[in-house]
Amino acid sequence: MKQPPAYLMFDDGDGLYNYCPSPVRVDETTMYVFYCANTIPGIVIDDIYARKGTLTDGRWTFGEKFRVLQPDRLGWDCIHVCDPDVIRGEFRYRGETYSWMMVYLGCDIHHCYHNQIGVAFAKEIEGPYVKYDLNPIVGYDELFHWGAGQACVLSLDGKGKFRMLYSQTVHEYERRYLGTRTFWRDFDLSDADRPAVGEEVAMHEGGIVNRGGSGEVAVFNPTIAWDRERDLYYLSREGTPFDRTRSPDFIAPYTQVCVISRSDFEKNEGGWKTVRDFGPEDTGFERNHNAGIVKDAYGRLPDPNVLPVAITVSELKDQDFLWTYRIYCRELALNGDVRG
Amino acid sequence: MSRIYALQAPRLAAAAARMKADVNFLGAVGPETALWLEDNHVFPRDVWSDGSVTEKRLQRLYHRLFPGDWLFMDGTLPGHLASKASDYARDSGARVVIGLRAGTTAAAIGDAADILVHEPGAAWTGNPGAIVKVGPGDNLEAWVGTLAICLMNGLDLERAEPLCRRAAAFSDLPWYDEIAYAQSAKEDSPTS
Repeated sequence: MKQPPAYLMFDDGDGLYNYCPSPVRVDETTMYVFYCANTIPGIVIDDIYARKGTLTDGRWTFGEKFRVLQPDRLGWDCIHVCDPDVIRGEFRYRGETYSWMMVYLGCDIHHCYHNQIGVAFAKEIEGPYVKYDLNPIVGYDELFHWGAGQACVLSLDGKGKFRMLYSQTVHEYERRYLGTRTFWRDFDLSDADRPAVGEEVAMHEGGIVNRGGSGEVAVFNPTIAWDRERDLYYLSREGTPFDRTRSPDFIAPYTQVCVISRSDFEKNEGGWKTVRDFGPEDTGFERNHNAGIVKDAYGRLPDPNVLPVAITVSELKDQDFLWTYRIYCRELALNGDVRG
Repeated sequence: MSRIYALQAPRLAAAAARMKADVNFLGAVGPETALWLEDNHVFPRDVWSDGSVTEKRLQRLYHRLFPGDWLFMDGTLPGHLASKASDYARDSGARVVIGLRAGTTAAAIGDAADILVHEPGAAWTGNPGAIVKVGPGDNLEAWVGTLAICLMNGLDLERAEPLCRRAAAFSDLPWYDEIAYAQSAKEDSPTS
């Protein structure tokens, strides 16, 4: 049987899950992967960990994990912290200047409710990360909705201005509709003591189609990378619809990457094109979810000819599938005619 | 993932909440205790500031329990109320954990307890499903509170015990970070 092209980036112990990677390539041969994992085997409390990787003979190999963020004892992020994304910049905060910013999801209730988005700053990419005292930077009021989270960011000026995409619950009570979609907004945390927060935009989904073309499209859990050379945005999302016939039935069978020109993205009237649906043929697993496009420190695609994606996989199991969540790496050669 | 209900056992509730369990409290407590519970991230579901738990008030528990949930008590409720609460748990498919301090007697509910954790010198009647005796000087509430987060995650008693013992060594009620990260401290240093 032919070996799938993706490979395991790093493994972990029994009773531990790894997912939601944010891979940040800092130079030609060095990459950090920030990701979500539990600390006590068998106990589902999310912390944010990281590993430093080195490129050797075309493959990334990673060192030991280290914890970079944990839930507080009390407050808005006292149960889980997860879904990290990290960019470089220049952020002044409480008299200090920080070179790195992490966005993350925090929550104060179990069972996937009341998620909100926070930021933390660090002087070195490995940390320590200092949580922002104006968190949550994207709040959500309803306690028993999923909320806002799964944020990803790209730098707009190499300093404190950045664009954030995130998932957020949408609720239309008359129709009994409760769903999740992607929103975006711009921020300026150059002076984080006086933050500038842009207006929220519901991201236009025009052009996005499901694998096979059927089923309702839902766009959530975005990660983004900017190809500066061609001025394109690459977006990863959970592939919909989910396969409800096999367990786990609440995570995506495939990860989709779409592309759009930056100008079309900003016009917000659609124009997305599918680049690739990453599925079992890529990883060998029937669940391919919670992915992260590999980007550089500023959220840009490191090489416009290659699309590297870190994908979380899961085995099909009725129980204990959580402990099979592992992160795989897949690199796709982009042909020259990819245009938004 | 199941839910935890603590009935008239505020210290067990706080101990479990400090370990990040989803803890829902029912009981009659004064305003100071009610505030302390909220400060420890316990969710007050049915809290009475006057009088005590009665049979009628206990009926609030009946609709809250679902199959797989866990009801925690500490043996301070009068026997007939504890018995009734255990019956409600049984009827709902929930299970019962009782933490007994030394000198406490839990009459009539031993049979209803799936797990009974006790200090030396506690007494009960009936036959609990499993019995754990903590060591002299161990923090009973910390032990049981840590058990709550383990049970919520589907761990059995055998897998939970090492973690519970670690928590029980604390004189005050420990927080999750004091238990979780102590074991992994060596793993947490960045490598170059």
